[in-house]
Amino acid sequence: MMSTKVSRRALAALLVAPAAPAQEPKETLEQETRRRIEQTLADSKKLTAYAVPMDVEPAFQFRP
Amino acid sequence: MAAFSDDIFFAPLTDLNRRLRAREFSCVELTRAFCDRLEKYGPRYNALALLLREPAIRKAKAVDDELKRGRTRGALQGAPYGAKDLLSVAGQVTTWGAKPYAAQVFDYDATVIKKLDRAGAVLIGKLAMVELAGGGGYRYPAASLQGPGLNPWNRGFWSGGSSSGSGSAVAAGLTPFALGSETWGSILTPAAFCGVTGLRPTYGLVSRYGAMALSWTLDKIGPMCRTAEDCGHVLQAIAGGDSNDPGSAGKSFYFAPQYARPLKQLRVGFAEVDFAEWAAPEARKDFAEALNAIRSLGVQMKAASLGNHPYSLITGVIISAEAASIFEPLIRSGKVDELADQRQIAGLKAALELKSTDYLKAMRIRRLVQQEMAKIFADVDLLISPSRFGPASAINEALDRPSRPQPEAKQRGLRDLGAFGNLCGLPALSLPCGFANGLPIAVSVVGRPFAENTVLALGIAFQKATNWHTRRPPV
Repeated sequence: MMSTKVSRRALAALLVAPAAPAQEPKETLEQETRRRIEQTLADSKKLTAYAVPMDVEPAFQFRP
Repeated sequence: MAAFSDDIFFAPLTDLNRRLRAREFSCVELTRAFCDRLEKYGPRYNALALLLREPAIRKAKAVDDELKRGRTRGALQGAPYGAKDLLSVAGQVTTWGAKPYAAQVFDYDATVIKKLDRAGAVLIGKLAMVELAGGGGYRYPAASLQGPGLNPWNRGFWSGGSSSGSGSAVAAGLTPFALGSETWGSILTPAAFCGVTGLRPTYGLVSRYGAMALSWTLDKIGPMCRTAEDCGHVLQAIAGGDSNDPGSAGKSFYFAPQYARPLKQLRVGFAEVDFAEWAAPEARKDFAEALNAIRSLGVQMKAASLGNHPYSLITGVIISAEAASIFEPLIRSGKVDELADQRQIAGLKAALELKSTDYLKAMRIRRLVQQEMAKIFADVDLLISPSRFGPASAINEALDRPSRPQPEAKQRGLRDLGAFGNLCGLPALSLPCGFANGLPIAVSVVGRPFAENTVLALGIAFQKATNWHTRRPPV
């Protein structure tokens, strides 16, 4: 179970780096997100094109 | 108060344990010394997230009492260690390396933390990691609450990730061993880049209860140590079934490399092209020597290669889909924008667009990959390949846009062994094997599921024949 209480002392002991100087991105976050979504769609097409015999089941790992 | 030399800070676990039991120093003295060292040097490498000095001293006192009463618990008793900050420790902050979770506290210990406590090990600190173990993909080493993991061999270079603090802390002698985790490369990469020995156990051998989940299908927790033998001792302590972890294999591990098959009976698969062409030019000489060192152990070397499945594509899809589900509240709430790395943020958002049929297709191709794995391991007992094809990258270099041209080769060899090994849940041991441009390089030994003793037996023999793992960075 997760507790939401945390003491100021505990937080103060945590090491956190100062904010790094911003790396000048070649694209904005929105542009990059759109590009990644397009990549996801392109990967989807590759997966669709990859033939797998019908009787091959997913290799789920979890045990009952 | 005992004064500790570097010989203590870089000593293997069995050596530390022997000296503790011989009362050369007390566990409290040892723990204080490592706490001081971790506190002083950890921030130099951005390796330390949280020092746990007071609970560590309390535990160390309890260990000293036990040793006085003659109660021994094995090789880890009294050994200080650090834990990657995705492992919960009751009442302490567990940040997952990520700003949105910087104040997160759990009220229970992860199973591996409890097991190490029972083994008498002393947790001295939480170690830095790439935010959310890098599940969305990340562009820069600075993708962490603690900043970029810096390599103890040269702080202008990356320690590797996502178990960045674990790698650099062990390399710099700040902890005798550390726990890391691997979904796709996160133990083997920092182990290779920092010149330490890292073991990725078989999927399901070590409980993930209390660890941040990134990918239920691929997450594994494992040790990073100074030697293969130390990895064996730590694995024995942390392995075992756990009904709290749905992925648990329900198996224990007893470290007994002496009962593994004789080395001369082992068939070791490798691909010449990995060492000669895929490897970075500056690393090829030491990789060639490492290959010769393995040959000299008397094993039977055989040519091996992987097939043509899209290993990296499906590994990426599986991780993305599962990470998107795990972190859906973070993404949909917009708090994902608080992460440090733009590529990571974009990747997690885009992952919500993955179709279920794509995930299922990836998992079906995984079944084919598992069938391929069974065929490969009918012919060989182990596979070896460079853990990474070159040394660490510079700290400001974009990880997805390398500044130097990467080697190309016509044959794939075992180039996709990282994706393949993680898809199949195979154990792997990264062994330091030389240097390139002053930075460590390593080879990985990969075995069949649950064949850790065989993997470790080769690793131990390799480390008897070489001394790369004994080298120390200038701290």
